[in-house]
Amino acid sequence: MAVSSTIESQTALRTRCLERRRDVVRERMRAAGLELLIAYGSGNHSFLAMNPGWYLSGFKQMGKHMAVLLPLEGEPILVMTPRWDVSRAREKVVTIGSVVATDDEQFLSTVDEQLRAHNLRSKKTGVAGGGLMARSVADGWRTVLDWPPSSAEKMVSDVAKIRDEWSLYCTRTAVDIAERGYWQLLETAKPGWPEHQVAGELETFMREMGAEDNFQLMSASQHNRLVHQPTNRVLEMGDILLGEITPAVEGEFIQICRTAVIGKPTALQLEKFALLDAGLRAGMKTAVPGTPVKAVVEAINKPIADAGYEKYTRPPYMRTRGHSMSLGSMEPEIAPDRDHVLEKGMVFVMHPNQYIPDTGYMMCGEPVIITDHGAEPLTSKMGQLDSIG
Amino acid sequence: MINMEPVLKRGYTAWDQALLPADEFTERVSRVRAAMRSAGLDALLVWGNQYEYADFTYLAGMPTAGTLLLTLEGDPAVFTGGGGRELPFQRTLTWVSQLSAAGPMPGATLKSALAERSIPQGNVGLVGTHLLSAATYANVTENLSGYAIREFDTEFRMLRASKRPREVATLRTALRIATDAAQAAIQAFNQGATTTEAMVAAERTARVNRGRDIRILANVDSDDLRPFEGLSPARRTPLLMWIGVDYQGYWADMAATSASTSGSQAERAVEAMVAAATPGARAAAVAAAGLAQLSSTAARDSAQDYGLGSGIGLALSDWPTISPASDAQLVDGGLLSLRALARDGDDVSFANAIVQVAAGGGQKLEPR
Repeated sequence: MAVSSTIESQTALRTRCLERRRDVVRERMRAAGLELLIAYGSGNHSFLAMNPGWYLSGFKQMGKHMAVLLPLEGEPILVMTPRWDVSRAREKVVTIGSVVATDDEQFLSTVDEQLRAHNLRSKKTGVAGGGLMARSVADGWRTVLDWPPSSAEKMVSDVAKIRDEWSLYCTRTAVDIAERGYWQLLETAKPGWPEHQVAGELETFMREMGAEDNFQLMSASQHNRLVHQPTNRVLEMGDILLGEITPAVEGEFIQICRTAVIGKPTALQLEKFALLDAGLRAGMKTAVPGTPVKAVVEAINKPIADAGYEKYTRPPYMRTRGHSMSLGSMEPEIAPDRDHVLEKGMVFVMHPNQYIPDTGYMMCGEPVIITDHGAEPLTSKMGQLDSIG
Repeated sequence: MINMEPVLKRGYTAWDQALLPADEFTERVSRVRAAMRSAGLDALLVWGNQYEYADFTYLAGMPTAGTLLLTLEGDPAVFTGGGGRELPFQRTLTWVSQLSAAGPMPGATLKSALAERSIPQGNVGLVGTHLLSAATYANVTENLSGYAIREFDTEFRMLRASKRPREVATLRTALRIATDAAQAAIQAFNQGATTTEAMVAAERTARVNRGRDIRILANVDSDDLRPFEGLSPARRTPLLMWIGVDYQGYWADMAATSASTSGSQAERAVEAMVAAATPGARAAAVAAAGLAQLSSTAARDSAQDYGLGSGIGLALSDWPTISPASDAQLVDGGLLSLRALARDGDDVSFANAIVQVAAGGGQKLEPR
């Protein structure tokens, strides 16, 4: 009974939040003078690119293309592919009454038909395409609309970058899966296992916990240059195992970055990992609402630079100190070349992953939420330099 | 088969030089250069990304993103889209020694590379520009404005269509991984596992057996094939499962079911398509041969909805598509994945075969 009421409340929460997304986006459309929003979704899923179609529909498609046609007034329409996946779409899409299934090749012509049928072709239109819209589709909007559309990318991103309750629920579920997966790895991985077996066992353990997808890099070395996809390298004593573990629940990804030594960590390894941990904690303390992300980068880099490693806090050794991984918004990115400003309710991974010449690359990163007091970890236990075996 | 694209190909990623040694790629380069000479091209640029890498990987070996520059003389060069941090690892995945980072706007780098190879002007073929964003495409074409550029996709696709022996061997390795994964799923299901637990059993087996990417659909909570979206207590009989496995960038896929397919409509349809898969045969005729074996409109509709198959190799769904609407003609030595999911009410069957197009009909590939 308790289980069924929990499921019921999850469904209600999801519906309420999807309705709110639709309504808030409509408010922004009205303010921007838009009469129609086309929220596109690419089937080339990435956790580093927006999927506005997914954000507004709650549906992660298998086909190449999807679009939510959201008029200022009237019923939204979902155009999705392939046809045979329409029953799944209808189950998932609870705030859009009209679901139209078609084939990838007929996507634009089907959008055209729907726009004509609902007298939407001549409306003042914005397109939020995400980062993976194919050139042919980007060019195609002009052929199905009477007027060239404007970009509505930022409009959707600005709504999505502050997480709603449903997003946070899925995020916290994914964090729990990531932590339990990593703890399982610490218990089971052993010298003699190849990297791909370690990664594969972790992957399927998290699948059993409910992870639908995972951006996972996992590799080991006595002196890592970076983390990469798993190879046939066999774990041995003294190796440093790196894991970038990013399970997804209902399309919401969350990442933990972890480092474990096969055997006992050396004093040098512990000393250098402590620099990364100090950088992370300094960054979290700095990350109050209103803070430019550049200031967070500086806070993270300071203890590492003070220890004599400033060169390694810049490219090509360092790319970014953190980033959102919500398919709804790629804000913020904690990088020196970004002008993002932190806002309360943003969620992202903060990761001072760092190459140190004495020990090699190590990973240290937490999923955090921005509060009035700074960035708070979503994990139950922050990462440390762990030991296996 | 259309399926859920993951955010990252994250399984076993190491160059199997025993199966795909460097000399395999020098032979492919020779083949492409001959086509370039015939077409009057001085240089060729081939793009790939993490979703569509077939053309790029055919020459570069590594199934990743990048731009490959091939001229009529000298070694090819690969330019990656990242910042260079990944280069040490990427160098372990390819036979190409000239590997460097060009960032997301590679136009100026490509122009310089052509000049360095003493090609200040001339004819440049482009393969895979549909993968580029509007901004990147503009950057490339503006920088190459001094060259006569033209799309070379169709010619390149035909070069890849007939498979080399080592390509067939690599695909058969992927088929072995897929077959073992299917057996693990069916064994788990027959021992009482739910549909989603059987999917996890298949995935675990494929990942431990060195699959680079694994795609699985099954009849989860539905008569339709669906991706894994969390554990479900449902156990739908018979289990219907589709598994796709990538090894070294080469794909194999298979239909698996807990029910016997012997003599089923789906099996008859696949066998008819296998027999029709001869060089020069029209893809539409192959499709028609399969559909003729299905006894009802409903069964034919479901088979066409899920697709009757396509070319397979460095892409899961490659040219040609097996469809009544296709005007493609099969190529001798090409590889096809042929399948039928036939549903008419409660009567459902699912079968497939991977075949190499040959004079006497398709030759079925066995797992290696």
